[in-house]
Amino acid sequence: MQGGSYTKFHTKLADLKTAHSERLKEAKSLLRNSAFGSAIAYGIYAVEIYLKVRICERLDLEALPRPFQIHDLDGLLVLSGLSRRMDELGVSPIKANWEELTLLDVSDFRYKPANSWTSEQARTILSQIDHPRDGVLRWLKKQ
Amino acid sequence: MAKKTITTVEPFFSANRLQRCLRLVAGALTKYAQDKGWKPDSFGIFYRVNEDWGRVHIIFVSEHIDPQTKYQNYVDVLGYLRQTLDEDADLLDNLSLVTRSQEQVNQGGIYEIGPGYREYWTMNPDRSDPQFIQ
Repeated sequence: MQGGSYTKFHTKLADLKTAHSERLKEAKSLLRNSAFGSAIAYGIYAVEIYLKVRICERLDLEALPRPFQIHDLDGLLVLSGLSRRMDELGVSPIKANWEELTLLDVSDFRYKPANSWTSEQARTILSQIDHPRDGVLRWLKKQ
Repeated sequence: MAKKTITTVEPFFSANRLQRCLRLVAGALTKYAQDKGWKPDSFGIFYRVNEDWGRVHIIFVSEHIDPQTKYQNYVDVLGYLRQTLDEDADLLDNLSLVTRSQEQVNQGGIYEIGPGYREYWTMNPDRSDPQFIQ
């Protein structure tokens, strides 16, 4: 049988589940080691990977199909089935944090020198992701 | 017989809806700045339309925005947009808004306006200017 692109599974759900929390821990470790740009990038990876976990769970799949291996947070939120819930937050610090995160392009972090980002900026982003009350990742996990 | 009103509902992801969202929000932001007495060169509207996923990303930058009250700025501007857009307020479901002070943008890093963004220009001549010919 010829498989379409939807049958080409790659990343396993079990791996994604482990990876998202590991990326967040690594982001915090990179921040402590003054690697601010990398800390920001790893924080965003954690959000991206967690949304991929939710896509797999929603579709009852054990691995993420290739067409869903995208990095666009807008798209991942739609595919995870959580975009309406995010919109329904209305004017909320969580939504404001999400909108800040969607501005960032992770590919920028690959090619720019480390001094392009400050400690305060890295702390801001990691707080937007993991703040106990208003963090995007914390909110996503409660949905 | 009562006259029927035909309303068309634009699909959430349609390019027309996104362009309408951009146009109306940019117009309302310009009005917000004018209402506050901000000079045209003291604010800017930068945008990126993500047609694949139905989002209009707007960064509203001004030297008058206080970076210390970041969330409050966002609340104020969104509140103004909801009020001003009135019956078109549902278009705000397609909007991702971020407010920035000029100071933050100058700082760069996460506050830099990425290459995927374009500045939105509005033709808005000052009618009190004697050089403006009607």
